[in-house]
Amino acid sequence: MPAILCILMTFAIGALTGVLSADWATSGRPPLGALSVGSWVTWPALGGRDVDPYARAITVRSGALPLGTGEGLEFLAAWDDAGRPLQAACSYRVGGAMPAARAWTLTVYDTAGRMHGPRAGLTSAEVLRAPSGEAQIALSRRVSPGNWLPLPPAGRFVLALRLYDSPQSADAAAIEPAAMPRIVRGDCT
Amino acid sequence: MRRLVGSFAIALAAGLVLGGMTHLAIVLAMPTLAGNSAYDRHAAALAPGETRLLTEQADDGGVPFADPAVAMAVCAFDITDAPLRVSAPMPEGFGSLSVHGRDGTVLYSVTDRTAVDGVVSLIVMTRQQHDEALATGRGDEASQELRFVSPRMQGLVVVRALAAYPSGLPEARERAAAMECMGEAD
Repeated sequence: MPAILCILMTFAIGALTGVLSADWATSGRPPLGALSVGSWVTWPALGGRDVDPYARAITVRSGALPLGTGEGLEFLAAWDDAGRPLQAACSYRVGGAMPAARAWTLTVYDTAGRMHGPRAGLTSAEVLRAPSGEAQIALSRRVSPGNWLPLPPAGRFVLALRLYDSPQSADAAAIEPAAMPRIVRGDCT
Repeated sequence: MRRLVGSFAIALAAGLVLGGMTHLAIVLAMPTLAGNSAYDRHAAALAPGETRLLTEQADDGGVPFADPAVAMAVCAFDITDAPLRVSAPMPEGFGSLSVHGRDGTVLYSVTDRTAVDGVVSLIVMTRQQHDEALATGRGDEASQELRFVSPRMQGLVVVRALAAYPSGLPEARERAAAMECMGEAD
């Protein structure tokens, strides 16, 4: 093989693998620093200064404004408690314990971070609670009594739980899975 | 044949090493290269000292994965010449203020617990400006203000106002948009 061909091939392989792998690593969710609590995932370093280069690249690329550590804590869930992906075709119940926070919000997004319809989220102030203080929230495409959030028309969806002014935000790793709300799948159509 | 395979293997190995270097360079350069960052999208549209309310939808310049119950407003700063003085009125429920660097890093964040008379006052300054302010003795009178020595010259100040009920959203938006960002003229 002539030397020039070798050099060209080296550069082609380098450019291709470098650009594609960088694109893959900086789209979606940060590959490093994830903290899983039950089926919820958070990236505690995103809200502070010691964020890793991958998470910083993802933040910049998506145009997101992450929640600061001093403001609160943001959890995402893309799977239910049984480890199955969250599908808009199914109905879900979210509820149980909530970590301590002054206020929380639960929001439904599609996988690109968009909301569907005027009612995409609930706040801790507006949910109806059981006498024990627990709130159960129904997620489905069909209207349901009580606390209900509509799901997108099709595909997968993502849940975001934001804890505002939470004493846990300084040490998210201390949150027990039992202190987080459960995501239980009901029937699917 | 063996020489061909050998040179192919060398080209492949060298290509992968080059690819790794390209990968690292792209990831590290992303904060300066990306044209879609929050700073790039908002700072270009903002005059100095102007506060702009953000819409929650991901298209038309909004923020992806934004909380629909939270009104957000931003102002851009450049503290190369003078410090920035921010005063953000807080809503009745929950409100917070954060300083984001141009590279997407959250530099500083506080909640409305730090508010005095319902207003969070923050001065974003460089180390040198901070030292000068101390030297000229302006440190005592301004004890009600938070001082933040920013490691970045440019960035965004973001205020969040939570509306506990959807009916409170217009008021939360009003509060968020009432943030004032002024370059401190010396």
